[in-house]
Amino acid sequence: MTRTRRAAAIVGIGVLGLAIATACGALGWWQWTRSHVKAEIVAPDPVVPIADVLAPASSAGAAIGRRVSVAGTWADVDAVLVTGREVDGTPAVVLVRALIVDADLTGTGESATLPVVVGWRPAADATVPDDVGHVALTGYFRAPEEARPAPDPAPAPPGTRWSTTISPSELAQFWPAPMYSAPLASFEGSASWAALPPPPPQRDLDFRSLAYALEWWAFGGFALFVAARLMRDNGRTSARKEIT
Amino acid sequence: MNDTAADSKVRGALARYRVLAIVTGTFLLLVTAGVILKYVAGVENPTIDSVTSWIAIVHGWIFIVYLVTCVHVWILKKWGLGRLVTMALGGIVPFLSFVVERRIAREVAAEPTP
Repeated sequence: MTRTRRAAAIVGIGVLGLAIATACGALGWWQWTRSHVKAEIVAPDPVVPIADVLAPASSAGAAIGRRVSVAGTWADVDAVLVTGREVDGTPAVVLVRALIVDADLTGTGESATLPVVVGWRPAADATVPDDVGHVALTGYFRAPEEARPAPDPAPAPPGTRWSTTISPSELAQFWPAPMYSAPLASFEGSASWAALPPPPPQRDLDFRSLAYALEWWAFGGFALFVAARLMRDNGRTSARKEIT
Repeated sequence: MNDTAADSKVRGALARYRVLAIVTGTFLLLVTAGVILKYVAGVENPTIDSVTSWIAIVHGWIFIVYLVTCVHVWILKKWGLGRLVTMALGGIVPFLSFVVERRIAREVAAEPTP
């Protein structure tokens, strides 16, 4: 091989190595950004009918964070006052009510019970549920919380009971079946209960995407190493050839 | 460096390459099985999904170690770039790592000892 062709080969290997390393770097960067923004709590998807994202008595999974519209009748069962919460720095009590979703909206043809997080009030100022009858509302699915033993033996306001958790599996013990497995946080609130402010996007690190990012960067470094090695070996062989 | 020392270096590198080829290939088969279950057989199982994706992540890291062993053998044997690409592809194409490893082992064994 002539000296110029050898030089061209070395440059070519260098350019190819840099191109692969850049591509790997970009893919790693993409995964890195994904690992930071993936965990938004309210999905940006448009509001859809409830049956499109979740059926009663099935695992919530991908429905969490989705915004849905629903209509139904407030059930004549005890609502739940969830204590120990805080909203904008104020100790708060949160109202969770049972909404009997209209049979033609559940997707199964029969009505079902949806736990609705109606809103909040300052903890010292708890009151009873106000709205009655048939309502249409929009909200987003929250992740269900774990069941916890009921806290307060103090008498609750009429038509309510105390709890410290928003857990559909706990609510299922005294609300009619079938139940939705995730609570819906209402955007509307009611006359005496203010809707919960939408949670800020969570900046949780997603370790899966992070691991992929690091892997891509390792591949990029590997490409650079191999390119450098090939360029050095090519240079060395040509130098040796020139001496002999 | 005398020939015996160089030979034992190559033998060690080949042994490490062989182990990693088998481990990488096995993990790749597990990932492939998971993907086939989900997208070909249509099995909807979140447990299988999450196990598959974790195996895939582990496979990615083992693949990097595998690449290091590939490059070591490749440098010692002074092979061309094409051979390195074939060896690297072994960690991505199911079953290929086993085939390439066998071929390389046979080829090196058949080499005349100096």
